[in-house]
Amino acid sequence: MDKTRLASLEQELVDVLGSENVTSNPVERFAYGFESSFHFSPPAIVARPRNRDDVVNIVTIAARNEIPLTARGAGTSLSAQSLSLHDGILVDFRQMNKIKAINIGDQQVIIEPGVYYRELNKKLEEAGFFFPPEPGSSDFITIGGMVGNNASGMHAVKYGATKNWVIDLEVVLANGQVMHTGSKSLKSSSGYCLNELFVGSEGTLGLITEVTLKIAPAPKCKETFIAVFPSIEAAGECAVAVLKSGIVPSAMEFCDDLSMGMMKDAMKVDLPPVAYEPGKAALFIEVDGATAAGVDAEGRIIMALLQEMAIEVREARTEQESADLWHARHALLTILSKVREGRYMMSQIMDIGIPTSKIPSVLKEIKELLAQPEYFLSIAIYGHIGDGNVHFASMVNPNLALEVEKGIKVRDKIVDIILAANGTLSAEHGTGWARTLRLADELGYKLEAMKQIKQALDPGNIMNPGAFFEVPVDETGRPSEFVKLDPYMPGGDGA
Amino acid sequence: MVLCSLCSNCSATCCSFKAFGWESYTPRARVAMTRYRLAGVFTNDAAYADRMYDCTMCKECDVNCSAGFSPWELFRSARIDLWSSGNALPALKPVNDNIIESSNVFGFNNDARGSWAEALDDVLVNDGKNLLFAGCIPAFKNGGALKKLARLYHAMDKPLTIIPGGEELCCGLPALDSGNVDLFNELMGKNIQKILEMKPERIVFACPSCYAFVNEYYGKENEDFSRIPLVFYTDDLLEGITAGQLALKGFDEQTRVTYHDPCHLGRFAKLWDSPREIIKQVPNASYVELMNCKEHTACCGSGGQLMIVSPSANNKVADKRIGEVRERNVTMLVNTCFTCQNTLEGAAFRVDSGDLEVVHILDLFED
Repeated sequence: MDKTRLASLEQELVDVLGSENVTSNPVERFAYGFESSFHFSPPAIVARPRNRDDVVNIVTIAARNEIPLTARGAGTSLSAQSLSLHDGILVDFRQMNKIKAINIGDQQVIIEPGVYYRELNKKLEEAGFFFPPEPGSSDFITIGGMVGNNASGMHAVKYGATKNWVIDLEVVLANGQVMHTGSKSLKSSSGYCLNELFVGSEGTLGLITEVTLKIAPAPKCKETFIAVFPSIEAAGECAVAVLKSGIVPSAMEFCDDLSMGMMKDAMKVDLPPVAYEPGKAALFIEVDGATAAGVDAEGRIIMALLQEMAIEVREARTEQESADLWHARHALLTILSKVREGRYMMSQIMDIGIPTSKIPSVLKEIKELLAQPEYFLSIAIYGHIGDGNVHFASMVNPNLALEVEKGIKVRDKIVDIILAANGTLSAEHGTGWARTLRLADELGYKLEAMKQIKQALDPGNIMNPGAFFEVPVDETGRPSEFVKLDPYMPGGDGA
Repeated sequence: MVLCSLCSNCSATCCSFKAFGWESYTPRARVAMTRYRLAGVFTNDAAYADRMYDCTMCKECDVNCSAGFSPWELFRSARIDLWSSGNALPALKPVNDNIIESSNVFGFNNDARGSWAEALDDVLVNDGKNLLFAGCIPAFKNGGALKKLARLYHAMDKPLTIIPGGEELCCGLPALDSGNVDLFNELMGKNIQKILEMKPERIVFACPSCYAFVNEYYGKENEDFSRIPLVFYTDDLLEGITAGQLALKGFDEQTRVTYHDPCHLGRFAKLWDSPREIIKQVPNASYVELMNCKEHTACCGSGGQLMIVSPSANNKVADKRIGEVRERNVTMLVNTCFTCQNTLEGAAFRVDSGDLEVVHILDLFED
């Protein structure tokens, strides 16, 4: 953006937000150029709204100047959803962090989007309630980011994703109009379900200024099990058997030998040593409920299944032991940064989802693929197997042409396998801009329908342009995921 | 630094970010800046120094890091680099000059360090069994409290010995926080030498910061020193209560009381039980825990020399902490650290018009 235009735009924003809430300072632009993905893209300006009126003003100014707007909570996206990709305005929502109402009788809370997930649940805990979707990043994410991304995590197998808990959103549309997508009733059949349209829309349809969430009584009792299996597909078969048993675990996680080894080294957690032997795989399972007797009964059934199918089974004996196991599992994505060795994870296969019944066969097929010399690539495999969400953490150095070539081959093969199994390329991390390379292959005409919806609500295409509809291309014009990389990430060009 | 994946787990609770509100004040951004600076790409020395020193060094980022990386160590190294290259913030020079000239942070005549102990011959001894390391702030600013501490120790039949005259020096933390590692090492060496000369059986600390940093560094520097037990005074006072040697004042009516863990005591030294146990034994006290406590305590805002570098940010952090206290609907906040006490007392007047009583834990004891 040229200096004159930037100065004029900044002044317009300062006039409505105050100078303390607007900046084009190069140091801030640099800092806001990062998120938790490997991409780097500084905005032209950062604006920090304090309330809905501020957001309306920001949108109005952006629309008038035809400047792109990107919403940002804690900036923890793994898909370049929270970066300003086109020299636009980044809207940092963390000042809008009020918990407006906790209505236990109505089973709901009304909050601003900048409230941290952890803070909300700390407050709800006092009343014995909680907001269940718990991504691995739950300690440091905002509710606005969760809604924009339709985030979920380990407990989705029982409690679902964010979309299952949103009953109303207040959004500011691209024309400055303020709209509610739902009501304060726990259910509604009036009109289109716009809640579900806006949840996971990644800021492409409007900016969220208020969120009404359904909440649930927090479980009082929990039991945790860890079991080791002779192979990755055996673990998958056991996961399916658990689901067929009629018990819905509150978490059922899967880790391969590489992931387990990383956890052991990084977290000093007591894991069965057999779990990190080559080829082995492990399941972490949690059951929860309101009474010890009910949880015990479910736990016994799970234990019987595990003893029948696993080579080693342990039940966490204390709350601390259980907390340590889950803490290690939570930290896995961060821990994997230790094995990057100069490499980036390929986002296209980082977050796939498949029907749970197909997990054993799909994992077997992919393992066999990776065993072939021409497809051999270091990949840690783990995920939320209970809902079919598997993370393939691949390691590719974008500066090594042969490795990139192999990475692309592996990636495309895995994507083909996932799509043939009626799966999805993004189960919980969102699409953003970083995960659009094969999106058309997955969505088909749905992508066209999405474009028409986008066109209707945001004809000027100012709302987070880049997400969903733009495929990253390198300097030669070739589609590539190795674009706008942060060169000074460990292993990047500069490291 | 290689371990940091910029996940941002360190950022949400960072008190510096809470005070300034902009992304560049998060630990994540500081790590990124450092990477780019080392690569010669981030060349704004002034901004780099500003962000590195606008931090309370409270270490919560370390506690939250899933990768086992220590942002705190990185920031410490960055400050040392900034100091040695002459790029440290000018605001830090006076406190370092004071220490160089007078061996205390205030620039006072260090011979007066022990003046609080005058007329305490009846309760102090010279046997060195319980050697008090008073610390600059208690010794020069809170002499009354130290007198009371000395009397309480006498009542417990553990009379204190003080380091005579001006021979107790600053523990060195303000120098280390500035990045002036040479000055820190010099102070540490002199303090170790003097303390070893006195052959103490144990060392009692009145200041959480001195306690945490002597604990962390001095023993590693000198093996003989590492064998001396280091004690924070609340552990002894709790024993004194249990043994019936000390009495607590108590409240006339039921009072909701909470406790603020100082970063250096709660997070660094992981000492959090004895202050709580003392408060819980105060007659008519209903103990209420703060949301952010123990290892996850929130800084009062004074750490890392932020109180010197940016008093307004110091105040913002303190105000936020008082905000957290108010949310618990308590009428009294208890401190074990004199710096936290002063800072939070000021914040209570700004945020709460003084309705919240902010007291030091020694005030809970009968004289």
